[in-house]
Amino acid sequence: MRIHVVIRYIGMMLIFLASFMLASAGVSLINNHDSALYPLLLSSFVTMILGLFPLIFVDSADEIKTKEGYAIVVGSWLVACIVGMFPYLIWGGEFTIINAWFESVSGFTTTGASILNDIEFLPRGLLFWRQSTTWIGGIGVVMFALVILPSLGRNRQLLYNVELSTIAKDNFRYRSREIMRILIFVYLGLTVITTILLKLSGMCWFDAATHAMSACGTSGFSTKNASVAFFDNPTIELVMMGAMTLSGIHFGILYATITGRRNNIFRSEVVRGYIGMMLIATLIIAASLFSENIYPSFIESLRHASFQVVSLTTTSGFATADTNLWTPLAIILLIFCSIICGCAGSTSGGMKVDRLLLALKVIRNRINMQQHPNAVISTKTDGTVQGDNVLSLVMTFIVAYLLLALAGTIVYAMFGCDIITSFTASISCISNVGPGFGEIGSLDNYSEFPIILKFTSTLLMLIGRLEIFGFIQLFFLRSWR
Amino acid sequence: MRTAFMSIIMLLIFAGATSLLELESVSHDTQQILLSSEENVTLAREMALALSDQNDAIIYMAIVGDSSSKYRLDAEKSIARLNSSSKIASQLMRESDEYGLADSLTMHTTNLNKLARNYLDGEVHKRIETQGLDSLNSNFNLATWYVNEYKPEHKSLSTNISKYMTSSQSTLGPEVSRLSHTARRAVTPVFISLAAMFVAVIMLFYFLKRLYVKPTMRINRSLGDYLTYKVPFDDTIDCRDEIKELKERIATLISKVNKQ
Repeated sequence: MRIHVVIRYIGMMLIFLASFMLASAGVSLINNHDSALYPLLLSSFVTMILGLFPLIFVDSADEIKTKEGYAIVVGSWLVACIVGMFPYLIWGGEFTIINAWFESVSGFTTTGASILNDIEFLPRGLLFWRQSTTWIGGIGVVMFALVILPSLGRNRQLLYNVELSTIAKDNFRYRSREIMRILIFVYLGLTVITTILLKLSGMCWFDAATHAMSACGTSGFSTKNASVAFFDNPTIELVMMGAMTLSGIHFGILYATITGRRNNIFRSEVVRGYIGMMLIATLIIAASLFSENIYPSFIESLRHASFQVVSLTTTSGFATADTNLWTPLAIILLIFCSIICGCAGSTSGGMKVDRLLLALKVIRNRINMQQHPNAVISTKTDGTVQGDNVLSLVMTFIVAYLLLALAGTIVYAMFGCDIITSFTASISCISNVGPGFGEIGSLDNYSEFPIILKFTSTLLMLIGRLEIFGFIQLFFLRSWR
Repeated sequence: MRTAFMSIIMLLIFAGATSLLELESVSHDTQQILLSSEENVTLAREMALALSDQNDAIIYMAIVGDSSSKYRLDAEKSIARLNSSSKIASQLMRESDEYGLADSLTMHTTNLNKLARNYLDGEVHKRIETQGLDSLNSNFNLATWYVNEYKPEHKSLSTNISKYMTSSQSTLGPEVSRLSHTARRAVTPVFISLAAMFVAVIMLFYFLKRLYVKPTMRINRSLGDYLTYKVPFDDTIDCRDEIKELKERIATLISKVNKQ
């Protein structure tokens, strides 16, 4: 593996991050030269220098090998999380080293969990940086680095493979350049449209832009302590739900829908499963909340239920209500949504609807095989026959996810968390959702966790964001040589 | 190479400038806290001294019965001193949003000064005479006036002055917290810059070794092999700048020598 090539591409990503820090410093400057200006400027400067160093010495590579691609993706993520701490650390306040690390990892992995007790106390420049991390994380640090890479198509494809799950890659065999164009077009377009709609719904420009960034990145970071509940505005909630739902769908399918291609959201079995799951969960939760008199009317129950279901399924984690006070049935369904989450090829994390559908089909086929032992039964998604290799990968991923969730739960429980907090914190971090239940409810945060648990949470977030195996690969350095 | 070193220097300068800026802020805040504390203590001392002088004068005049002009003058002066220092203290407290203590201090100063003024203007004597004529069993005299009226007000004002003196300490908590916050901001940029510089130096070491040191050694070895064993010079060595030029010139020289 050529380390200097890996360092060069990570350096390019750092320069990209530095430009966002500069933009945040600009926001700081506009807002009466607030206290985040110098921290952001210095962070930007340091990041820029670290990014420029490899560019001075290493020429661009014509070809990137698969292992180098892995190293660039995982390395970029880790380095972005470290560099992302700088503005927080220099600014101070509630940001100790572990808190800054937590907030940075939570942002770049689009988890949206926070350790801040008073978000509104942060200056606007720092808030903008915080939201930027989620936006950059949403599309993938590496994807952004790829935009500015003057390399050939093959480089991009290799890096891209790590970012998206195998299923999504197989479904959309666009050329890598085309994929780049699709992602930028859909992601930017969605963010701009959401910003405008939120502004029209009553938010100020700053809140509209930052919430749009967070919704499209499906992170759930808000500029308000009470999250979206602060606005108490059904129109805002509707716009946010729309943005989150779309961000949870494979960007290729979105692009195909916009450009009038055949393989669109109306034909996709995966999208039908995704929307159907959210609809069913919403209706059951709304009925449960209404029957238990938690909300006075069914419409009110439906409003809160639909927002929370969309928020957790898309792994955003915005809140309009304290879900800790909801019925056990509602809580169980929300936990289920937090595990399954959105579609592959979107900004959401978790197990993904694609895998759930395939796993269900494998189970169905297994039952059919018992009835007809000699039958040849193939497993399809969206008309494509999935090979045994893909099915095996899906089942392996599900098992690995569940084992990881169990291990996480044990660690949280070891440090004194109750069962519901331990389990949901573990699920929430692996799926990059953010809020859970118990001590980390929709309107609470992770500030009360001891340092070791904060670190464990960030580790789970990174493992989840890199689809478990992408992260594990990092530790087999010997096989990279 | 020059750019790399310039970057490190710029980084250090920028980090240093930021730290200096923050340290300046720390210094300014510390100075403000000390000045405010000193002002509090000076004013409280002035009020306490004036209060004590007035009390002494009143005791000499009302209890001991010495009505000499010296004590009258002391009492007059203390009234003026109490008034002016109390006004300044109240104003300062209002500026720092401590309205309760400011109002209390003003009220008790006014009350005590009013009592002292009444005594000096002979109002107390008049009351004693009037009450003596009205009631045969009247116990009201200068001593009871002092104990029942002047002394409680004196005590109240004394308590308020003490509260004022320690008020700066009670507001010191948030100030110190703000100060430590600013101090941390002064130190963190240096630490981060040092960490970044450490990483930059490691990268520099890696790239120097890879692009300059190793190629030079390989050129040397390859040239040695050519001179000793006539092994063709290795021109695939990966290097940059002057080392690359050197390699190319050696390769040209060798090809010329071979042609001859």
